[in-house]
Amino acid sequence: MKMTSSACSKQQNKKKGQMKIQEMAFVLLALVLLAVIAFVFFLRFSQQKIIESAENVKAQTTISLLERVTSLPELECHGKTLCIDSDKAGFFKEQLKTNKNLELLFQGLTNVRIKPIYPSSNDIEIYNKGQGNVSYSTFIDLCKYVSSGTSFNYECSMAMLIARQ
Amino acid sequence: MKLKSLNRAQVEFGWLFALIIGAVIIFLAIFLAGKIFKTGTYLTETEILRNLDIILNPFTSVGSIASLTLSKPIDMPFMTEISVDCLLDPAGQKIMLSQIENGKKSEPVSYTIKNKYIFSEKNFTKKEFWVFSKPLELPWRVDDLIYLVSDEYCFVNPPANIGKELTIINASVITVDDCKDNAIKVCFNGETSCGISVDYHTGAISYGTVRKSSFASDALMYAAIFSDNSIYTCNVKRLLSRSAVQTNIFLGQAETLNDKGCDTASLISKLGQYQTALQTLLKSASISQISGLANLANEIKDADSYNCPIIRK
Repeated sequence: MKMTSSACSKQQNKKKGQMKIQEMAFVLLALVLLAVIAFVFFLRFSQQKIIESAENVKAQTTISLLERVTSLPELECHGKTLCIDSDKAGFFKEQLKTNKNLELLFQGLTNVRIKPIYPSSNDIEIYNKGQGNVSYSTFIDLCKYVSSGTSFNYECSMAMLIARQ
Repeated sequence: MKLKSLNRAQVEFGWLFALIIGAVIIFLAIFLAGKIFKTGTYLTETEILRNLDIILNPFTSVGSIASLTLSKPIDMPFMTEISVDCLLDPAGQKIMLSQIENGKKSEPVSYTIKNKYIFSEKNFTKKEFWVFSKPLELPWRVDDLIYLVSDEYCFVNPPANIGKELTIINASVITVDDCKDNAIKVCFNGETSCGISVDYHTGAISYGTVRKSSFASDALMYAAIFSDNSIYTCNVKRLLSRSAVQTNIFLGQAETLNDKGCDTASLISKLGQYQTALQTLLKSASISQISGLANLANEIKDADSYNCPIIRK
């Protein structure tokens, strides 16, 4: 009878101990879960901030590169600003086929094209490495030397320079 | 007796367990906080580096409307170590930036800028440095050169046009004649006491007693003064290679105009000679012969037709 009571108390103690361990395990599990949820929220917030910052940098790069493209010596008109010489653009495209280093000038862009608006005509694609998802544009003059008697003058049309990233 | 010891063991186990788990939680918290802080620093540095690239973009296009930009100071949010390297293949400039806080340097971030020509020292640690640009016209505008000036320079007896330009630049780190003690002296009259001596007429520049390099225009002279020799040589090679492509474009345009009835025969011939000279320079290891290009460039300008000019401004 004595033996049975001691075995019973041992059994009770064992159960108590197990309960305590289970309690602690549940508390720990809850703590870990709470920490994981907080960390996931933090990561989502940080990711959103990084994406916003990256988009901002992309937009700024494209806008600042638009001005740079119009002033590239390989494309710009002689003695005119915000103007692209269509003859030069044609020769530039030819050079681009053989000289891959020229592509580096468009670092940060995937597509650059000129869209003549008035008079309207076919687009001139200057650089194409994909379609990109963000596009910015600016108005430019698209000019070409034409003969007028003994002298030559620029004949210009209104166009839009579109840069995509 | 046995029950007591069992109870004590349970209490001790509870404490031990709590201590171990507590230590693990504290360790994880510190570890994660450290990682998050490091990532935050890395992100800030990357953002600053990309913004630096964006800030420099306007300096590369202003040359089509003006012969010189005003200088602007760039104030970094913290003391920063900047390393600039120049590569020829693939062409570009690798910029490395790391933040220095309480004497500790953070892990550097790097970005390769491929569409600019940046002339600076190879390594400098500053919170503020100055930037300005000038177009390289050889004979047409090849591109705008960007100068990052981190040290103080004093130009002694510069030619009148250079002195005037430096006054327009209006950078606090560049003075004319009125030299501070710690400024690097740039002399034009062959003085030997100067850090840098420039022979403006022959296009030669020497650093101390050692001959440093050659230049063919004012823009390249500033580049040779403000930059490390290896960056200068590498960037000049990149510019010559770009100039060779531009020569082909101008040749194409001159031939088209010739076909349309504008006499560009002389210009075509000069452009052909210029292309040969460029190729020779590109093949040679040094750029010491670059000053010879200035004469050819002037001949091209003279040969440009008055009826359909494509080079002369």
